[in-house]
Amino acid sequence: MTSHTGRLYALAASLAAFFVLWAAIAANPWKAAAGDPRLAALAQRQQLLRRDARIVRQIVQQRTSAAAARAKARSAAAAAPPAVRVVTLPPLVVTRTS
Amino acid sequence: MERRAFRAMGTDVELLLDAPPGVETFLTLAAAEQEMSRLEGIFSRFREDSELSSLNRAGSLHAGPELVQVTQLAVEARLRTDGRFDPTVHDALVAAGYDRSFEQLHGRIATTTAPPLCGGRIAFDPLTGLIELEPGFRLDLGGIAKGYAVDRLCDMLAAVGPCLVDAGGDIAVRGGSWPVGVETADGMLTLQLTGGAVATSGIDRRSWSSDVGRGHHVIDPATGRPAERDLLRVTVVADSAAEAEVLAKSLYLAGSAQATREADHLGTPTVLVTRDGRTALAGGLSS
Repeated sequence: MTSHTGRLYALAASLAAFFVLWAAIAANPWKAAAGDPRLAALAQRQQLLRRDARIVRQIVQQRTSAAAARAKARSAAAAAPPAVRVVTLPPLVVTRTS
Repeated sequence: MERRAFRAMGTDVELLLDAPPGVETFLTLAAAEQEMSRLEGIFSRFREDSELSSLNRAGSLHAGPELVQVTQLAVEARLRTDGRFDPTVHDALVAAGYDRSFEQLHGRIATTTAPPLCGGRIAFDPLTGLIELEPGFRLDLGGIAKGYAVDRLCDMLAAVGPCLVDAGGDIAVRGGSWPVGVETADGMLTLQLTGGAVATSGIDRRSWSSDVGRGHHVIDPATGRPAERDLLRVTVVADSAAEAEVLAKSLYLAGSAQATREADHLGTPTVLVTRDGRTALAGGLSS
């Protein structure tokens, strides 16, 4: 009897262990949980915005540098007007009211 | 010396390139002509499909970088010249009769009696390209845009060799040594240029008869009417054709005495011809 009860308990324990194991395997704990598609879209949007921000920063930087270079060139030009002198050669072209 | 001539922006354009004949020279000259045509498509106030016409129709526009850049140059020039150079003279030019390409102006022109206001506000954002005009004002970038185009073409040609670009009297050179004629009261003098540009502003050309007398294209922004000064024309040498255009117009509107003082102060080589037949050199220029 004792042995019979013991076997019964053993069978119940085995069944319980089997179902726990089955549930654990069915849960796929080694596989990453599928995220919320809205979160994925947000993450993608964030990536795009970061990329755009980087491009805008580059453009601003380039334009700022170009503007500074132009301002510098203008100052230099103002300090030193173009080399010009009156000569007695015949002209190649003639400037006129435009 | 390679040469190419064509018409654009309502004037004769001539390109001179000191380079051996060949494929590269030919292609560069052809590209420069194409570039001039493209720029005309942006800046012409006579072409309905130009970017400038779109801006003038709508009052605001997300414009391309070139229109933004030239607008910015024009606004800066207005500040520097105390408003003597003003890109918002469009309606004053139209009121004076200059409402179509100069080649199409024939006979006497009807003018409006009330001169339009000038000095309209122009807001622009170089980052977004948004240009906004004060309601009731339109832009005319004629002279400064032509100067900008001449500078652009000269930069293109300079990659191949010393060059000269002449667009109806707006002349820019890069490299080499170029004799450029300037009309005086009694003949011609020659300036030798190794760089920079020359432009002339005056009332001896681009003028017409109107029902209120003689009209011309040099508008005084203070009155909105064709300017009445003691000068016939002013020729200026500057580092770029766009800048020479601005200075020539500004000094013309200053009148001979003030123009001489300003040219000397700025060190801007200048030739002034007065209506009573005198020629004066200023800004360090001497014969």
